[in-house]
Amino acid sequence: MKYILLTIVLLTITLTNTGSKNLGYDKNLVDIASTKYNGNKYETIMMSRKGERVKAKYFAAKDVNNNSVYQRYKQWAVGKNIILVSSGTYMDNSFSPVGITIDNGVIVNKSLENFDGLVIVYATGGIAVSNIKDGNLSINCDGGNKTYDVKKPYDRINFMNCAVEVGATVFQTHLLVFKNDIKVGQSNSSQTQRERRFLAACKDENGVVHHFVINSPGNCSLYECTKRVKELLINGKDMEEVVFMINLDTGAQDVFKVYDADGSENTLIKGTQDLSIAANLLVYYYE
Amino acid sequence: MNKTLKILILFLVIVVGVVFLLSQLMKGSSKKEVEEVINGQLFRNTEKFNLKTVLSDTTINLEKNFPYTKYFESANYSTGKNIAIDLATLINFNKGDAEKTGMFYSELLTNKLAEYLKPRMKNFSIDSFIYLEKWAEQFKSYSEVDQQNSIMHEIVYDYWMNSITTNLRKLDSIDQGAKFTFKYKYLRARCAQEKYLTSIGFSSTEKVMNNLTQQKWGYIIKRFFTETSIFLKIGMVLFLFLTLYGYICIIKQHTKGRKR
Repeated sequence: MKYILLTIVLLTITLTNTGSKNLGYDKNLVDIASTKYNGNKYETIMMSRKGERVKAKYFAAKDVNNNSVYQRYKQWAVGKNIILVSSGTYMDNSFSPVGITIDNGVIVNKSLENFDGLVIVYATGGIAVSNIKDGNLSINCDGGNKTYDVKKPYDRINFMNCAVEVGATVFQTHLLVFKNDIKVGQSNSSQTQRERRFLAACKDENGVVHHFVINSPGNCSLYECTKRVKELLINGKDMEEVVFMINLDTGAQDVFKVYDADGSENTLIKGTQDLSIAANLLVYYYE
Repeated sequence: MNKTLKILILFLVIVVGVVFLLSQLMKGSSKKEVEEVINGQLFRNTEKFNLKTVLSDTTINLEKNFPYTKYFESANYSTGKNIAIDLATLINFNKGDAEKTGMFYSELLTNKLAEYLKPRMKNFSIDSFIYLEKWAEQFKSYSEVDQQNSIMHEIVYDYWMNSITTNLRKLDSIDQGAKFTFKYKYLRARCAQEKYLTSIGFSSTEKVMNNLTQQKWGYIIKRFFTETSIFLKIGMVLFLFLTLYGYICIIKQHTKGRKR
């Protein structure tokens, strides 16, 4: 009887652990590196979207049941093979997301901010970024691609209705690089000398899309960092085109965790804050 | 250290402290005086304007010949009943084309009305925006009941709610004390209930307070060493030294008194 009970307990523990354990990912699709380029240190996580096995997920805000972003992430992450988790975009002094925000088809914030980048994270794990200034934001809706100019009220209403309908996740942020052009100005951007983190999507010479999360631990202004990181991606990482690059928050919610291919936590590359304080989270996982 | 020097240092510390406190208090009270209400008559006009008379000539170009100013000075767009009458007149003018009418009317009550209001809104006034919010709110209800013109009503509502949050942000940037007033908080809360969040950033002091309350000691120390100027660092070390010195003096004096 004793042995049977012991076996049941052990079996339960094993099964519970297997459910929440990060099983890792295909190391051919992810490259984690600490590099020095032009005298500056960087930590890069390069993820290939080949075969669309590497996917993105974004938690923009608390859910309707008031579960925090951290609680939502913890529940969702069970059985998932996480590659990295990072704080996402800006929050205000009420810890609410800044700019248009839709979380999984639920509208969080309808206020259009003065940021050029509008990021759409699809339920399928893909990420698309549009330059609001161009007025040609494209979204998969009603089985087809639709284009909107969100600066126009009529288009903005229709775009939001569409995003809600398809259950998309949308947020607004500073667009730093778009189609190889640096979009942030030297004089009209943050001059604060500080560490920074970026999310970029690039195409290599074969047209394969790679997503990068780049940590720039050295202090620099937003423009200077953008310029340096773009150079790193083009020349240091041999990318043909930087499709987009956006800023990730390293301020009050500097949350960043990276996992190695075997599923263990990388202790060398990490943020300064605990996951539980995050107001929003960007997650990359392998499926 | 002789007594005079000690008194001088103490005096200097007190003066610096008082000046710092006063400067912080003055920051909040040095707000620009704002106009109380943009126009007492706005949205309160009682006289109606007969749109049918203007549109009796069916050959006119609506966009070019529409009497915008006269319309905005009337009571035609103040209530749902009046709006419904004008919409019916316009649909009739456009030979039943509800979509075309909707586009024209939404442009009329968004960009054109904003142009008309612009000179009056030069000086920010919370009261004005409370009026605006109340007026804009009705379009949300119309969008739910008037299915034919639903999008048009949504557009007007969305346009003005976005305009209000943008202006609340502007007001915060020119007057840091404004966000603590009742009217500002009320309007911000109303907007937030409708999911138009007035994203107000952290001021430097708020950032420090936020990090302190969240006990991010490592982060605060790191930021202090990497981002502050050498003068601030020296100043802080001196302040720390003087504070410690003050404590030592008090303890010494206390123990001396005890020995006696």
